[in-house]
Amino acid sequence: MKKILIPLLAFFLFACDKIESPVAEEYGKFDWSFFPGDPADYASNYYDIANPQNEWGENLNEKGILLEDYTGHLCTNCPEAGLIAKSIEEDSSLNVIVASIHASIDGGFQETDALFTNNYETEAGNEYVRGSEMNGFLGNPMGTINRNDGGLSNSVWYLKSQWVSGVNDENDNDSLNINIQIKSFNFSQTNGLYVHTETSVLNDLTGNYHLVLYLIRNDVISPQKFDQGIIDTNYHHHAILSDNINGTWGTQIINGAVLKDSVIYNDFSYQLPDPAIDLSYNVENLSIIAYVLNRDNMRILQVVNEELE
Amino acid sequence: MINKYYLLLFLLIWSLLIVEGQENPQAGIVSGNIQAIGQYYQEDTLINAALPEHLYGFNGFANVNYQKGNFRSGIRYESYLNTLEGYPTTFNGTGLGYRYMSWSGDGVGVTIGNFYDQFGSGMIFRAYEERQLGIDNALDGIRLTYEPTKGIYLKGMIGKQRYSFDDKLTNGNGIIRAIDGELNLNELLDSSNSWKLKATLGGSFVSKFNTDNNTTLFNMPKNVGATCFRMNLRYQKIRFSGEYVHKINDPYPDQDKNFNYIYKNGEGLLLNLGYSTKGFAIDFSAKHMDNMLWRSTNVNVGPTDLLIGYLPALTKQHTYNLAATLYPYATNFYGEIAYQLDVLYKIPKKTVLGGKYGTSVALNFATAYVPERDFVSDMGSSRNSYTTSLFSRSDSILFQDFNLEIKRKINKKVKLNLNYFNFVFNDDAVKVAGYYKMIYTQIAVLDLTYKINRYHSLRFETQAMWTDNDKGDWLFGQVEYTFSPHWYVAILDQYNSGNSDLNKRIHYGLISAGYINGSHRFSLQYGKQRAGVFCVGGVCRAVPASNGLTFSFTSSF
Repeated sequence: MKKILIPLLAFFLFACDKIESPVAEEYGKFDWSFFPGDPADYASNYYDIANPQNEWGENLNEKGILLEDYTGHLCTNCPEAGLIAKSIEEDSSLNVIVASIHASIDGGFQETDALFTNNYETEAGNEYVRGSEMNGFLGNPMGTINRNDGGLSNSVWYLKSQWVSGVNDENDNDSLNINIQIKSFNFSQTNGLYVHTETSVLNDLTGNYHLVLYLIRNDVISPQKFDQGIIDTNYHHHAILSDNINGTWGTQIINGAVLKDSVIYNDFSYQLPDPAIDLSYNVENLSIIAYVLNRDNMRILQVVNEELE
Repeated sequence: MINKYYLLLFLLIWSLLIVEGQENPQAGIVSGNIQAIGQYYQEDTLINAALPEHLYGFNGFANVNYQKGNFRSGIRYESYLNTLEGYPTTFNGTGLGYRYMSWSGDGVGVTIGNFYDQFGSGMIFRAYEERQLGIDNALDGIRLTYEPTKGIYLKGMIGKQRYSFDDKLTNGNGIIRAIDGELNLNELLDSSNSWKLKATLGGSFVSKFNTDNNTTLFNMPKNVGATCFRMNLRYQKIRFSGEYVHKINDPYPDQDKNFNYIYKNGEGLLLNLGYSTKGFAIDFSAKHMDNMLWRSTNVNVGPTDLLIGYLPALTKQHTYNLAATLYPYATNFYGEIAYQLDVLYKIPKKTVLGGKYGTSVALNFATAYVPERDFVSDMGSSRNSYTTSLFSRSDSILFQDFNLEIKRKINKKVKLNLNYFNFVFNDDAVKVAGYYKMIYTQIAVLDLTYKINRYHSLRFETQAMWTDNDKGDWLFGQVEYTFSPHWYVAILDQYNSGNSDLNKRIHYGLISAGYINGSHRFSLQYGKQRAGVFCVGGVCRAVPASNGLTFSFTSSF
């Protein structure tokens, strides 16, 4: 009798699903604690994660070019490179998006002291210059143009003098195989940021593609070293990469073959640094850069940006 | 298709049994009952009366049972052509709504098909039918009972709940699995029946499995279980009963953000202490209920659909019209702390107060409060929403009912029944009156029966309600003439005398007559019926206003 009763009781007693994490994560590793309210309200008031197809209109974004300016506040040649980058960006016909990445092999130009108090290095930026996947970095200032391999010695790295021609070359190649749209919502009560993306496949693709999100501070005033020991303490640093929202290499969105007209939706949660501690993180000074990267050859297929509000 | 074959086979076997039973009484007993109500609706814009396009509504059913020895079988044929206004719209069409077979012997009982059952007070499990409310959550499955020895009663069942009726029975998707054990210590250990203490202990476990999940935002539990323990003790004139139920995370969608998909465990505790002796009884009940909505589905359904558990009402079931239908108690699914005190005293006859025949006095006080809840901001994580403690109540009252009933036989011809009611009704929480604020009201009832002679009697009933809230004061009057054993006729009027809108000071006149012959009863009713709420045991149904002719027939054999 016991042989029957014990399993029977065990079956009934344990036939329950105790849920430790009620909020589903299958639509992104959402941290709902950044949302000041019930996550159930997010769908009706902001974005319906469960039915993202209803959230997007036609994607009118044109092909973008990501110009990554690898710089440092102690690098005396870098301000000139910064000016070149900005001038290219201001040419609306090129649709260039600049990200200033403070990174170098040894971190010498990025060091801090009593005057240069801000450390603008990021884990991702250091990995890009120091890791094995983007070989050939010589020193600041250098840049990448959609991470194509038209740089020095067929690497992704361009000297500043090559940026204009590199961008023009990239601009001539106007094929667009993938496109991106971004929506974001931020909540000052928690400094929470939710980012939603729609990635549309415009032509059949095969490979390993990642979506990467940069958090950018558009304008930060802090010291910059120039030639002859001149230090401009009111220098406007432009488009500083401040963090990678979804990691150094982003989120894999395609692995293998994907057909034309496929649509991929991604959702991300992130807590912004408190602007009460660092004013440069005021949302009006922030934007997001999103790009799709072919991890097999490092090429960026499309890049877009969105200002936070 | 397979289900159809089973149904045909069932009907064939069953018809043969019935025919055999009718032709040969030795073969078994056939019994049954029927109820039919039809209503012809008329337009009445003054009271905003329901006027469906079909103009005539009809609800009817007939049970037919067959029994031979330990074998029992039955069906219920149901017709909703079209459903009476106010009944659940999920009742439609005509067909078989209930069928079962059962047999028992050697301490074992088996039921297959539909069945009703209840564990303890029903908090953990109650499959029942309340036709007036449109509730029918019969289980459709298999039930086994086993009595291994005298005093030990075991029960196990599995099945799906009746959800709707559309020319046939339709079950919900959820599966209910339930076991219950009861130990009667006296039967088990006290064979000589010498113990003064009578004790029964019981325990149940009920779980549901359902995949009705229309939200992808949350991880929904597919298996949810509830456990219950209960005891009944009686020592001479004192009795005590207690029941505790605990349910794990069982989130439901809800309009209230604080209760929308919350994963807090539910619990209920019901305690009752009573004393009774000749001419006097006192009974005290207490209830703590928190987050005990318990359905076999986790999606939005009608308020009385697919309920597994029943939340007992701690209030007196009133029968007088104004007290019963304007501001009746409705159990709060979110939770409540409730208390009830009942005192019955019969003033002895041939005393100054008691009179020649004695006087019965019944005092009842019931109150229900919102539990004290400390809300926590965890809707993005554990979603418990709040914490609460046993019998810790807030200041927010849901309902309070003080009522006094005095029954006295004045002389051989006159019987008097006086009632006083004092209600505090939080319609902001209960939301049955549509006023959504506190309602304070008093009602007085005088019910006088005059027996003209052995066969003829007259009954006068007058009621008055006073309130400054909602629709204001009401008056009610009824005269009923009975000439037994067959006939009765009654006329009544309800008047909303205190409505602040003079155009809504309406008379709701109604005339009814009936004929009773043995177990058969016919009745006709014509007139206006005001909108109200009909509740049984804290479960309510909104009744729309109507004007028209109603016919009803009940019979049993």
